[in-house]
Amino acid sequence: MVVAPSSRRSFLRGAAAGLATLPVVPAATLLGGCGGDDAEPVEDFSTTPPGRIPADVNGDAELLGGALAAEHRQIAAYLSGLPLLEAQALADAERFLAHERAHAARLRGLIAGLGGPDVGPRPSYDFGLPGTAADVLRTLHRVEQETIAVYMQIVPRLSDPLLRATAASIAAVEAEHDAVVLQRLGRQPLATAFVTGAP
Amino acid sequence: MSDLDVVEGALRLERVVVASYGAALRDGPLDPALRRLLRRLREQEREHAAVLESELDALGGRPPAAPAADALARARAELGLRHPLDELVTASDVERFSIELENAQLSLYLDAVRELADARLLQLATQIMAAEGQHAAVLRGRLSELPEVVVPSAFETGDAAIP
Repeated sequence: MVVAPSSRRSFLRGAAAGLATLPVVPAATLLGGCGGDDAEPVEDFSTTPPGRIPADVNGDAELLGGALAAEHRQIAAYLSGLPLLEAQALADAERFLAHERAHAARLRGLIAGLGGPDVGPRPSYDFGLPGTAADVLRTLHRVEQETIAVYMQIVPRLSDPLLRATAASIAAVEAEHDAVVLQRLGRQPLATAFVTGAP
Repeated sequence: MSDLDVVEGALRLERVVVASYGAALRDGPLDPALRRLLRRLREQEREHAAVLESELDALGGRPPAAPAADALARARAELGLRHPLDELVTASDVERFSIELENAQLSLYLDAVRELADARLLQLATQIMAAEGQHAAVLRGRLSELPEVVVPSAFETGDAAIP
């Protein structure tokens, strides 16, 4: 079930009344008008924990599918958090959301070019119940870290050098997003010399 | 290009970057926050160099020597680094000088990810590239608060214009 609330902020507050899972905006919004095939997207990686690529996932198309699943999750996280952000944090998040949509669009194109199955967003994602801007930023930090972890797993396993370069260039941008989010939280943005994402 | 060549090239650049940050720390006009940042950046580049040296040794390669102080300008020129060492007049000069270093590393590691064959080295290069991206973003953030300046592109290639 998907929900398109008239007021996203009031919807988020109302969700505290008992829902553990936040229904997400319609898939068309998640995909950000980045175009699509006529065929329905096939949801994949539906049981994969965030930040993980199963060891039995092989082939460049399937590996990129794992990255696309992570990007869908990120897009949902940014969309659900925007109403609680203001000023500079809001401007950052809006730009980073545009980046995530660009990542998803690129990955969909690459997967289609490889003849792989499309990976659509899940009907809903559970990001807890953020009540403040700081809550949202902590959620975005966690989701960025999980996405970085996915790319760190897939780059060495991609067979095509150009695909590896694309994945690495995206991973670097996710790390840049994370650094900015950490700064907004008043935390050290350069925590480690070797960025690995979530453990 | 072999994995050995790629690792050797990365180590050579990391060593020049470490020496360059050292020169900026010694000669640049730094407020306390910028000094702390450059020290952290230099320390992380030292960590990169240390791991790369270990990997190069495992591949049977010989580590390139770190550039001597009086040879740093030439070493930088050989790597295409253009910001003059003796033109660090303002904090912004230091920040732009530093962004050039990070851009050079981002570009190198992007090439490395294309060229490396070993999975473990590929993961290492990707981890380091992500860290260099963070360095660049934090430095760009000192020059502008605009998100389109701090993280200018959805795909990092190391060729973003220096603000």
